[in-house]
Amino acid sequence: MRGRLACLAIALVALGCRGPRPKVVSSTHRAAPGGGSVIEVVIENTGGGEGQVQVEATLRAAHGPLVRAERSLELHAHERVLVNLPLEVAADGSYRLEVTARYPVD
Amino acid sequence: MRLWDLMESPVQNVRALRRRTSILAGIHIVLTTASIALLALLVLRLKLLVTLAQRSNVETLLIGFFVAFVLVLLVTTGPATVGAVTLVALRLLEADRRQRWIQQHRVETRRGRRTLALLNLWVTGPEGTIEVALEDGFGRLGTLRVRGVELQLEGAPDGLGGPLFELATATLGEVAARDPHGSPLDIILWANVDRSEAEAYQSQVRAFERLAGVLETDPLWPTARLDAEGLARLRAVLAEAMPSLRETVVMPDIDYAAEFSIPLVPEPLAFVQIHRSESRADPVASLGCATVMVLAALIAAAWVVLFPPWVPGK
Repeated sequence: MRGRLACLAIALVALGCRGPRPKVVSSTHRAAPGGGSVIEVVIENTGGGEGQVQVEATLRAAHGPLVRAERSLELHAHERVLVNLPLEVAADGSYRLEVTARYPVD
Repeated sequence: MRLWDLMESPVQNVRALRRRTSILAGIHIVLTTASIALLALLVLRLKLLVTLAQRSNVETLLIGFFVAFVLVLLVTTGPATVGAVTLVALRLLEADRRQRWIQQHRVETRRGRRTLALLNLWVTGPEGTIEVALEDGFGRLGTLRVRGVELQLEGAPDGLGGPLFELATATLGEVAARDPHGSPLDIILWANVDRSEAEAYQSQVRAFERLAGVLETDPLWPTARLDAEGLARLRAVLAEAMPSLRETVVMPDIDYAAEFSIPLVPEPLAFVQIHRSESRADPVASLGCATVMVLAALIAAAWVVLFPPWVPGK
């Protein structure tokens, strides 16, 4: 009986201390109205925990250097958030977009 | 309490010896597998674990501690683990072939020096010193000698002393006649764990032996007397135990003393602590505890990797 109560207490503590489980739902790279471009990323927290996550977007070109943008944001339980990452490069289709969401933040 | 019983003596009869050998082989295999899994998890997910440690109040050095802990376990139990895997493989063979292989490859090639344990009572056989040759159709394991308070094992491979002495003591305790109101027969010191304490005890017993000689009286030290029937029973038990004793030789373990320490006032202000110590911990208990610790650490590390906890942001 005492063992079960101890397991229950540990499980409750573990549930109360959960971090977020960020997942990239969608990402698009499009031209911005004032010039340059913007990456729109929809991030979803698939877990019941919360915490600060880091969204990192990388544009890879066939030739030339890659372009990277990142942002940290707070995610609450089961939230879905739209994140805009403005860039100076043109959205001319010559880049391949990769987006990752990380927890915890380095 | 059950753990304490295991530590003191898990071998009370031949059946228990057989069970101990199987359990020990299982413990070695589980311990090594869990240690390698924990080490792999810590190394492969090091970045995540260090980030979590640095974002929380957990010392990053704790990860290094666990790496060192499992490495020490892997190194110290390595030969015994190889032996455990060998034993599991050998159990696929028929008993005769298994015994012959162990005798040829693990007994004849690894005979060690004398192993010694000390009893609380002075044991005398029908002719004084008791000597039992540990021998069967597959060959000789060694020689067990009970000389006064000394349990001696000569010409035997390492790893045999512990279970053999436990079994011999349990059998002697059943068949020997003790002084009225005397303590039950028990091993109180292991020379391979605490040599200096064993030397001091031996000198003390010898002094009482010489004093009894000078006074021309019966032994002054409490005694346990074995008659011819009791000696025959001891020989029969050891003969029955020969196959299991031979199998224990495959897993040479390091003998340790054990100490439990419970701080009544928590660390770092542990002004009041309670201790309990044992002169030798059987590998089933010591490595069993280590296995439980490694499994707990593995489950905790896997949980943290799979379900990272909340930590403060930047």
